[in-house]
Amino acid sequence: MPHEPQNAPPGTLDMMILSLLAEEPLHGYLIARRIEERSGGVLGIEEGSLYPALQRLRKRKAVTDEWSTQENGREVRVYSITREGRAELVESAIRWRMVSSAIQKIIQDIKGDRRVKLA
Amino acid sequence: MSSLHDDDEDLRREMESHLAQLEDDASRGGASPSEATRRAEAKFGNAADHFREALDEWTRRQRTVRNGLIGITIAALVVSAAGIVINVRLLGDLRATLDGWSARAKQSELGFGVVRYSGALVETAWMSPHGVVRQQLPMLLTDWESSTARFPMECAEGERPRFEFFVTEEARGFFEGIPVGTKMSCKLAAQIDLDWSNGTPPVNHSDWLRAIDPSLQFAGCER
Repeated sequence: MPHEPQNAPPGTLDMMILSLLAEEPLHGYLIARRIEERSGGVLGIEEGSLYPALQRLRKRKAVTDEWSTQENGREVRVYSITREGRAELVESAIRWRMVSSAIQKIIQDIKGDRRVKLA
Repeated sequence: MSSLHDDDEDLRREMESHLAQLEDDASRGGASPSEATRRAEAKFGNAADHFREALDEWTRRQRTVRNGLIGITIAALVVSAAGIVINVRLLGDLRATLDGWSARAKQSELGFGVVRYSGALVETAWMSPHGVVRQQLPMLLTDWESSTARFPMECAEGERPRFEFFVTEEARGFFEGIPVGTKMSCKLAAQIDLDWSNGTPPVNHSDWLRAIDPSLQFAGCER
């Protein structure tokens, strides 16, 4: 059954951005597309959330930015992860794994075809 | 340092660039120029408002930091006058939480009751200009041959290895406010489960450890 793209769970957007930037420097448009692609279309990042997140990361020196000109002449602001950003990424990834594992344990018995009694 | 005006201008340019790329996407999908613009703007949503909020928030924080600097300076002077050395000590209170997730002490081949650590979460705390910083840094020892060769990395069950090292120029990025040459110590808090879901750690865990090498020394085991 097809689903509409979902927003990233609270607190995970910064981590996903850092994870992508750990592979290569990217500009905002590509970050948004990569998140959609990597998540198989499950996650859809609103630009209205993406750029404030990039600003947060920049302010705490987790990323740096540099303007670059593409082949088509368009200027883009390319972000790169810093050493501090890598440390933050590792820490947040560990925390996320811990949290998601805990949630999985709680909901592991719930199947898609299971009838959940609501009342 | 960039000014607020520069930030505002950069954000405006960034928005325009992103919007243009969304229009390109729509055009490639067969939309007319006007339709491409409409779709791009619809997708972009209320990003402009978020930009403005982000800038306002940043401006507020800058003011707060400026106002707080006076208090921080006074506090630093008091600490210095009292001759208190910055106390870099280990945190143990996170261990219980972490144990529930990944701290599975494996029995090594050395015999019952001896634990061999291959990956670990290191906990440190130190005083930065902005207050106490607590940081947990993963350490992957299996891919760092010099560490496994140098350290026995074996402690009795219930004990954890402790290290001492000096902050180097290369490591300053990890230890804000700590002068180069400061002696620090850290303890292995938990063994890390390195089974990343995609099979590859997202970053090189040992970056920071390499930065403090070669001063890293095994300082014994502690309960």
